[in-house]
Amino acid sequence: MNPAIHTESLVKKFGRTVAVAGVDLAVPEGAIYALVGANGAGKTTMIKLLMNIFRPTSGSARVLGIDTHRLEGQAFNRIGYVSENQEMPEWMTVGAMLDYHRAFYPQWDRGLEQQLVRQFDLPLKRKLKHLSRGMKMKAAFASSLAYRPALIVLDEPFSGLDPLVRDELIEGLIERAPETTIFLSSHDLAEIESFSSHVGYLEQGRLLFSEEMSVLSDRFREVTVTLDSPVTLTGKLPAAWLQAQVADCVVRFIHSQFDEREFADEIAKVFPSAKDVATDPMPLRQIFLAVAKSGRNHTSSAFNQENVKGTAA
Amino acid sequence: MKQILHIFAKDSRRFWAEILISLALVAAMVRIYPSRWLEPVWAHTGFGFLAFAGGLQTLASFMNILIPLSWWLLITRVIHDERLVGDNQFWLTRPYEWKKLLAAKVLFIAAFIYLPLVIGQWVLLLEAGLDPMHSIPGLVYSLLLITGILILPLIALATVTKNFARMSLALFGVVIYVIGIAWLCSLVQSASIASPFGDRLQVVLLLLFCTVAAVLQYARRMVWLSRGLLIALLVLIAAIAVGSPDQALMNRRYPRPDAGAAAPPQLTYNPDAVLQPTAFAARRDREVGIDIPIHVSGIPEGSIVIPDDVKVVFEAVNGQRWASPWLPVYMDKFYSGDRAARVDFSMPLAVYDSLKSLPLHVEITFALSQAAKGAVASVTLPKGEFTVPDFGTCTPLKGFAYQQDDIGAIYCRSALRQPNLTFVHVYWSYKPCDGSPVEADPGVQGAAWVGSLDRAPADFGIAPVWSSNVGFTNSLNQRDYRALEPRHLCPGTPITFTQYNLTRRTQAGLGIQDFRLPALSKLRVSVSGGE
Repeated sequence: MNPAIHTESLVKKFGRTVAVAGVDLAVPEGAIYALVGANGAGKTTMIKLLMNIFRPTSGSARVLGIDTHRLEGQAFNRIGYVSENQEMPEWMTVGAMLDYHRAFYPQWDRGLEQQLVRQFDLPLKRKLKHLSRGMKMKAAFASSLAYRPALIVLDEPFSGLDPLVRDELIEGLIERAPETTIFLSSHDLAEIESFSSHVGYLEQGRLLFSEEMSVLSDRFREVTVTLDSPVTLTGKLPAAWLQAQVADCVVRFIHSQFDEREFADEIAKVFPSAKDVATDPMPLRQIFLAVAKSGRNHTSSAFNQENVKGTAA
Repeated sequence: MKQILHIFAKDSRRFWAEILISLALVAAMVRIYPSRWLEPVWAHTGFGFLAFAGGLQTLASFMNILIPLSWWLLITRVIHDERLVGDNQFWLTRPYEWKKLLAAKVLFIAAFIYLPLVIGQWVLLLEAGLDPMHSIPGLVYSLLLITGILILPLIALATVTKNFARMSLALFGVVIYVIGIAWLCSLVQSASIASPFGDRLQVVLLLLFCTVAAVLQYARRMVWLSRGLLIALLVLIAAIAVGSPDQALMNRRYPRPDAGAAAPPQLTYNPDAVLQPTAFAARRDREVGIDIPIHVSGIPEGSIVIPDDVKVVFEAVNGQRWASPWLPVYMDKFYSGDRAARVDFSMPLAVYDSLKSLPLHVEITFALSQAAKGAVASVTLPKGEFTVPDFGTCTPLKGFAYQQDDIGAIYCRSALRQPNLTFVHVYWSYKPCDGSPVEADPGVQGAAWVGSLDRAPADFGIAPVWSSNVGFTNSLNQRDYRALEPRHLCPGTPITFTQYNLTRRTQAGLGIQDFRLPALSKLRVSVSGGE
């Protein structure tokens, strides 16, 4: 199966600033892929490269099998794009905006449009400029979902929205999920954790990992090792062990490549005097915090990008 | 096509107010502009500023400014509705095809700028008594000029700016640039902001660069490349304005006569007791004006020669040399027969000071346009409007005497451009017009030159009617040293229009040996000739 989105060594520079630094990414068809990262990590730039709004400095990207250089005109019949910063035709009423967009899409589904209008409770006769931010986003969603796009790309779609609106939009998205691929960016882990199937983490333009949510959860563990006497960590720990801390006889770290079959040997090799070893699964938020902190202290920590890197495909 | 019409319909709904303003101004032009020729009562008196001060006529003049301003508003708004600068516009990720988007904008401009303008121009030509059907090439050419000079630059600027404020700032920058170029031209002796061939080259460059910049923006949205193109255009135009006319271009436009070709006019140095070279303070600082008497002969009967530009070279015996650039000259036309004339030009004060005490060899070369007599139309001057074939339509104006039928001048109009260069002459009458048969005094001829040798089908302008007062020489009779009395043109007087057609452009010169630059005088004496 061809990936819905595929990039190879994608680079975007603005002058001397490297916004996207050689990203290799593959998003499988049908996935709900969340690209997460802190503000300024390069998520929006990445999405604008995928949408051919920016042109890459080097590397290549394909979206729905089309080279992004050629992504224009009719190619957007199959792509829905909503961004938190998107400028809308504010002078139009919601109804006029839907009417206007409808003519561009031969496959526009009037029934679905009406359903979305009802679902989002859109005021058809109000001008977009008079709508709240939440309502504007709903209108943008409706105009981007009503033609049943094969790919929905969302740039920070829930940023600054109240929980009620956010839930409504997520609900609308999930209803479309069986028939489409969804690629969204967010810096809020909580909002994507519940419905994403895949996740990628972008840090200073680099994709630190990109994989299925379940795989990610399986390979991260918080490990607590109790030793029979106090220790100090002077030697080098395995690169996959992040944020190691020692308190008297207890060593805590995050294992980023946890494999139950090899774990006991790894521990025995580093801590031969281990009395007790406990492993706990980690919530997504904690995983990202650990990776983010390790990434920022890259030179001083044991974190090694190569050891945690993977692909979702 | 569906997408083009869809975007066009959206723009038409969105910008109805701007469209209305633009249409109203064109309608106002059609309504008001004829006042320029319907009531030109002051035109012949020499108090033209009073005509300018007249309400309707002032407004008519302002239309030439207000209409382009309304286009600025309309074009900026419609282009910026799907603006090409930025990365957050909704339409970037919708199935817009750039060619169709561009076509929709072009359709909008055609429908709400060009169509009303063409209709307005057509109606104005009819109002002026001129046949629009005969002016179709001129109308097309006029639209081409308007496109190159106004519309395309506005479109190009709108495609590289983000909003109306930035667009206004960019236009302000262009105005400052034009002022800067004019200032630069005033510093450079050879420069002319409107050189004879620079004008057309500049329009071609405007058309080319603005089209490429705008299309590039629609196709690729490469903002800095398009901006770079527009900046390169400004630099090129400045270079043309400051750098031209140069020798190569002049040789191309005014070729030196071939061996077998008809001889150019003979020009010789012609000093005598009265006509001597003079030097005077020129208009520009640190420049000296030099005025040299010449003699012109060898112009065939029925021809005239118009000196357009002059180039002067001074060579001293000590090897010192100064060559002027090609300079425009403002001399009378050269007529057939032996004629005296004067050529004046300016030179830097420092050069003058270094050469004034030396014997010099002087070479003066003229760029000349020669024209031959063409069609002649004689009309008996009526009381009201009359048409002259291949010239235009004229209206008699009341004379100084303000008597019933007394005519002082005529006010003429033609389609889209000045008429061909035409010599108009009449014979004045000493007697006021009292309804009795006209007794023209053949001894006193009133004459006027109207029009130009330029063969371009149209001049640049919004209004399609060129109009001007044709005032004749010798309109006043000085009976004695105290009293000036007006002469009279009465209905029934014959009036003759003689057209002159360009026969060739050439160069002709004269050399002067042992020339001494005259001493600098404060008072300038000028003697001019005439037919």
